Amino acid sequence: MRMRYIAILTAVSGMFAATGLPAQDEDFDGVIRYRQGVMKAQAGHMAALSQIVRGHVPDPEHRLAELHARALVGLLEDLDHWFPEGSDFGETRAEARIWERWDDFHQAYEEAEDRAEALVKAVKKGESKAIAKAFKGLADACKACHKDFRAEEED
Amino acid sequence: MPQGLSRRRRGLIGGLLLALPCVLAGPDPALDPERVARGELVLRAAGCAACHTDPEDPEAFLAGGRALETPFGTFHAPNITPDPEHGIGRWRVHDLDHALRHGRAPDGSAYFPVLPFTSYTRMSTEDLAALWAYLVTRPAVSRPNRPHDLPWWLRWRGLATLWQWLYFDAERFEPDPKRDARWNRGAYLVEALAHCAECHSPRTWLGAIDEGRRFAGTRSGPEGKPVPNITPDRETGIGRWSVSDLAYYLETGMDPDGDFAGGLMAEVIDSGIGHLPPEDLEAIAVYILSLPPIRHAVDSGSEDQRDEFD
Repeated sequence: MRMRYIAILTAVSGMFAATGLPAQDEDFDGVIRYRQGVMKAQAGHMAALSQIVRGHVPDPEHRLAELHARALVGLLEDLDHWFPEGSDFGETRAEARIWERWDDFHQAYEEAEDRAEALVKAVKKGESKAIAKAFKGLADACKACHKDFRAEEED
Repeated sequence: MPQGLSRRRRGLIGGLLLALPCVLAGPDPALDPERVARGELVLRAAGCAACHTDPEDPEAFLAGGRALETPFGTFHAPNITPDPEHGIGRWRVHDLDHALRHGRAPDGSAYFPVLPFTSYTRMSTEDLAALWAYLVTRPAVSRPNRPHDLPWWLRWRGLATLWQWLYFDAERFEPDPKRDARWNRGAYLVEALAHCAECHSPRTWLGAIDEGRRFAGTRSGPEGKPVPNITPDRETGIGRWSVSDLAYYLETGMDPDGDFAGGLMAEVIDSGIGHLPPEDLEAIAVYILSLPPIRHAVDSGSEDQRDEFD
């Protein structure tokens, strides 16, 4: 009896495994939303930093700049982990190119991480021109990666 | 003195005499470095490189290659380096004038408005000469052009002539005396060189800009992608942006929300307007934000959407 029970259970779970996609899609939904949330958080820090760098917000001791720069380093760390292969379906603008050129994608992320760290260093030194330059460097890294690996809206 | 040497001397003197006019004239004044430098700014402002450079092969600068998908077919931007066979090596400055300000190829045939001569026609003669100086001093790249991929009925250039007869008149930019110099500089950059309206406007079924919604964005711009409304409408356009926001976006590609331009706009910034001096970017922003706001949502699912032919 127990053997039959196991056989039925195996067959039924096999049927689900064969269709497999719903469960996987659901998993990716969470991952996609998570990484989108992280990206939005990054965008928020970048938007805030741009106001500081352009001199629209007083930050004489660079405390605010440091807060945002450190947050960006933290948010960028290992973010490519949240791009599992196949997560280009559903509500996402991630391009399939990410997985076709994974090494380039990974390198682009590492570049962004390095530039965020360079920004933290510049902020600690406290020289406004160097901070602006480091910020521009990080912004260029964001733009380059989006240009290559993110689809435009409503593709 | 042996006869041979004398003959050689005579030859030498003859050669020097022949070369004299060139020496006296010095280097070609049409190509002086200042003019070439200005030409580079014209090229950047006019966004030539974004279409005339293959994004997969940026080293072949201006050697053509980007495919531009339009509702009328796919156009492949040609090589505009001074290569005599595949580029513009056999052109003269008046050929560039005919192409950019009159929409005509050197053989007199009409260009389709995928080359934005409809905007470039307002380019000043000084800027045209500077652009010429810049283009002809670039390294020649011998890269063959790809023919356009058009439906059979569009391959006949007579249609382009007809289109121009319907929709195109050569004109010059006229500054508005009621506005200040910065606004007029912005107007010139936007309307003559940067040709923003060419992508950021809906088009009629005949491919002409829908003038009532100039700059109000379109759901199907180049490559079938939506292009945002850049009139200062607060809901559907960029009415919430400041001049500083817009100038900063044109320099860096970052919008006020911290998001980044992608696709063709990133290309336009990287290879084009991002190279302009800050005062020019500010002038563009002042002009764009002075346009009449037009309510026109281009993202799908919006209730504000009006029918578009595109």
